Parts: sequence; structure tokens; C-alpha cells
Amino acid sequence: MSATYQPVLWNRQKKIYDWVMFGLIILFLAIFIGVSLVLFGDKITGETLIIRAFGSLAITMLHIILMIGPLARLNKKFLPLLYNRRHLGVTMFFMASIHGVFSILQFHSMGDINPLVSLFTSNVNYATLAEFPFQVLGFFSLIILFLMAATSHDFWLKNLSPKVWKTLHLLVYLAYAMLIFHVMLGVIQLEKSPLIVILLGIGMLTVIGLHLAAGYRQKQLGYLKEQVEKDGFVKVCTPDDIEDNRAKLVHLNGESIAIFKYENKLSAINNFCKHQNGSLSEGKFVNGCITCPWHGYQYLAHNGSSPPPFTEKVATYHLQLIDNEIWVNPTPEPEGTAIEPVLL
Amino acid sequence: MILSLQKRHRLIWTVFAIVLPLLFVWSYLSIPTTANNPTIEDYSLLPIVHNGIENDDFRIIERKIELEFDINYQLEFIVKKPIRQAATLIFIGENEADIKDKAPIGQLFSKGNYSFPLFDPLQKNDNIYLYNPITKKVFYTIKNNSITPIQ
Ligand code: HEM
Ligand code: FES
Repeated sequence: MSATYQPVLWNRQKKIYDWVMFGLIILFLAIFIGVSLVLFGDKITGETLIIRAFGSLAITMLHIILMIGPLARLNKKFLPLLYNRRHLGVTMFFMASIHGVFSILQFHSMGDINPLVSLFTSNVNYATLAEFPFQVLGFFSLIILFLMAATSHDFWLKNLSPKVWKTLHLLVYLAYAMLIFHVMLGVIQLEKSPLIVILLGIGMLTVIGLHLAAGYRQKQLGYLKEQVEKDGFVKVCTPDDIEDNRAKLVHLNGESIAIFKYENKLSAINNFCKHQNGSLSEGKFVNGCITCPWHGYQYLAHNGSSPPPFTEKVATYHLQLIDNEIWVNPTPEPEGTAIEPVLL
Repeated sequence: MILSLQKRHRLIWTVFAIVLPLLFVWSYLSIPTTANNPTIEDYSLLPIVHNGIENDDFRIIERKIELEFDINYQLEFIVKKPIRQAATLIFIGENEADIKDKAPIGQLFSKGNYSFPLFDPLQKNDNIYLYNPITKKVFYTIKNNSITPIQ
């Protein structure tokens, strides 16, 4: 997977994903523009229609993007949406830029001052809430979305290190908060329909609710109720507690361990994918390899290494089966160390 | 997700869960019922209503103040319904062609009260035009013969 910068396999699925996305985008724009023309056809200019249609599309896409993560953690059924989420993000940025560029053209490029200066100075009521210059919020959000879209390629992930990259991408939450108020204050100041406020409120509460639910559920996941230890091994569960070709996650001594059951065998590897720290315990076996649910990096169960020509390696752990109970030794072997699987 | 990142996510969303709804409600409640107008603070300074007009959309009052050495005029606009235009400039002139080379007397935004200084009082043949500089069209005309003393 690091042999090239093309990490994602399953290409057919990726194409289907993109086509469905483009189809839905066209559908959204057609419905939005159609309804607006029927309702306000005589009062609205083409530019205003473009500004509103693409702004609304972008904020809708952003809500969907932010819901995918927690949904996938709450229910495995949503995992396919997570896969290729970055295309959704980059497309959302382009949709938002069409909105931003047209807004600047329409509202700030008619005068003789620089449109960007006009953006910041045409309204300077920074000290009030109701008259706050909402367009400035949109501008900074667009800059963040640009940075994220520009660094979304794996080339940047490698060069910035996953940690810096993930931190950079946390800025999307800041952009989200600013955009809520970009839309909210814009609607208030331009006296538009309260429907937008209601929809925005519902969207915001859903996104927050899902993140809290997923966050607190994950907090409990993988912790043993009691820790029974013998000769450096800790008792985890019975083989029946693990589905075939899936894993059980345990956190022990600061290690996050994914114990996989496959082909009547058991193997344990470190839970975190080398690509972006995706949770391997939420993945499954595809073509005989443990496959990361986030973007499809693959690992062999017995040695935690990606199949050649790829070079990613994660740590492996020793297992024992005693009286139909699985025991794991939480001391990791060096990344890529082969360990004989336990036979069931 | 590694554990520290999980923790950071939980923290961010816990803070958001409290702050965002509060700000959301606060901004909704702070919608002004009338726009505050920086031009004039104290209307009692301009007590004399010269003439005006009122319809479903606007109430327009021309006020006059007689100071020791000169007389000042002011046009007060109360916008009753949202103006569904991206931008609105107010012009005064005898006909639409006439306004092309004049300066606007001011700009309207949302519902609310506005007042603008007038260098000359409204003349007999003057109309008030609301002009959208983006579409470059007059979208509302208030005829001068409809402007009458209303006191
Ligand atoms: C340079 C950046 C931006 C500028 C100058 C800007 C400007 C504006 C303006 C002037 C409006 C009011 C338009 C109208 O209704 O007539 C607006 C509304 C809106 N903006 Fe932005 N915006 C920017 C970025 C964004 C971004 C990044 C998003 C979302 C991802 C966004 C989402 C929206 C939405 C949803 C609305 C309300 C749509 C509607 O009017 O129906 N904006 N923006
Ligand atoms: S494939 Fe991207 S995190 Fe695992």
C-alpha cells in the first residue's frame, strides 16, 4: 500500500460510490433550482439561484460527511459509506467554492475596492451577534475546507505524518461550527424563510447527538469487566463470542488488540491500521486478508504484514486457548513478527 | 481511531453540544425587530413632518428641522416587509433616466427604520425609486403624487 500512493482497492465499489454521489448532487440541484423557480422565479436572478443552490448543497453534504463517521462506529452497516468519504469531502469543497466565488462576485466585485477587502470591510459589526459579518465566517471555513481538500491525498498523509494530518483534519469541526453561524446569521440578516433555521437546527442536533453517542459507546468498547491474569496472559472471551472472519477488540496495558477468528484459527494483531489509524477490529477478512474498514489496507493475520509488494506492518500478540477460553499476552511482538495461529 | 484521538473527539463534541445550541438560540433571539439606524439617534430632534406616504410595504416620512441659520431635511423609511432583492439603493428624481447621473440618497437592507439626510426637500415632480444595482433595474417606484402631507 505504500508501494504506490494508491491505497484503495475494491475499485469497482469506488466508482459506484462516485456515480451515486454525482447522481444525488444533480438531483439535489435540479430539485432546489426547480422549486426556487416555481416559488420565486420572477424575483430571483441566475446568480442568486446559483449562490443559494450550491451553498445549500455544500452544507447538506457537510452534514452527511460528518454523520458517516459516528454512524459507522455505531453500526457496521454504515461502514461502506466511510470508505471513499474523502471523495465526498473534496467534492463538497468544490461545491462550496462555487457558492463562495459567486457570492464574492455578486456582492463584492461591483465596486472599485478589491472584492476581498470589501468582504471584510463592507460590514464591520464584529461586536454584535445579529449583525455579525456572516460572510467572513463562510470565507474562513472555505479556507479550511480548501486546506483539507488540498491535503486529502495520501501523499500528504505520508509527508505530514498521520498525527499532524489527523490534527489538521480536526479543523473540519471548527469549519462546521463557523458554517452553522454563517448560514444562521445570513438567514437572519437577509430575512429568509425560517424553514432554513429549522432544518439547520435539526441537522446540527443530529450531528452532535451522533458524535456523542458514538464517542461514549466507543469509550466502553474493548474494556474487560474484570482482568484475570495468569503467566502474563489475560482471559478475554470464548471463541463463540467472535463472529467468523471478524474480530474482538480488547484494550490491555495501553495496547489495543484485535483478536480475529478465521478458518477455525485465532490470531491477534494491533488494532490500528498503519494508514490512518483505522480500527482493524471493525474490519473483516476479504480475500484471506484482514481488511481495514476505512480505506481497505490489508494485513495477513498471522504476521500483521501487508501482502507483498506492500510493506505496512503492525505488532502481533501471542494467544492461548485454555478450556475454551481465549487468553492473550498484551506484550507486543515487533511489528510484522509471525506467530503460529491458535487452532480451534 | 487511536485512544487519544477518540478522547479529543469526545471533548470537542461535548463542548459543541453545549456551546452550539446556546449560540444558535441566542442568535435566533437576537433577530432585531427593527433595524437600528446609525444616522439618527433621537427622532425628537426632527419633529416636523413635512409630508409622507404609507402603504403595505413602506411608510416614508419627510421630516424638516429649522435650525437658527438653515433648514435641514431628512427622509425616513420604515420598511414593513422584507425586500427580496440582493441590494437596494434609493434614488430621487423626476424619471428613471434622470437618476442615472445622480448619487443615491442611501441604501436599504432588511425590515426596519432608516433615515437619510436630504440636501434638498422633495420637489413637486420627484419620484422615489428603489433600484437594484446588481440587476440594474428599478424594481419599485413611489410616485410623487402619492406623497402627501400626512399629519
Ligand atoms: C468565501 C466564502 C463565502 C462567502 C463570501 C459566502 C457568502 C454567502 C452569502 C452572501 C449568502 C447569502 C446568499 C443569499 O441568500 O442571497 C450565503 C448563504 C449561505 N452560505 Fe455562504 N459564503 C461563503 C462560504 C460558504 C461555505 C463554505 C458554505 C458551506 C459549506 C456556505 C453555505 C451557505 C449556505 C447554506 C447559505 C444559505 C443558502 C441560502 O441562502 O439559501 N457558504 N453565503
Ligand atoms: S486503510 Fe485508511 S485507515 Fe486503514
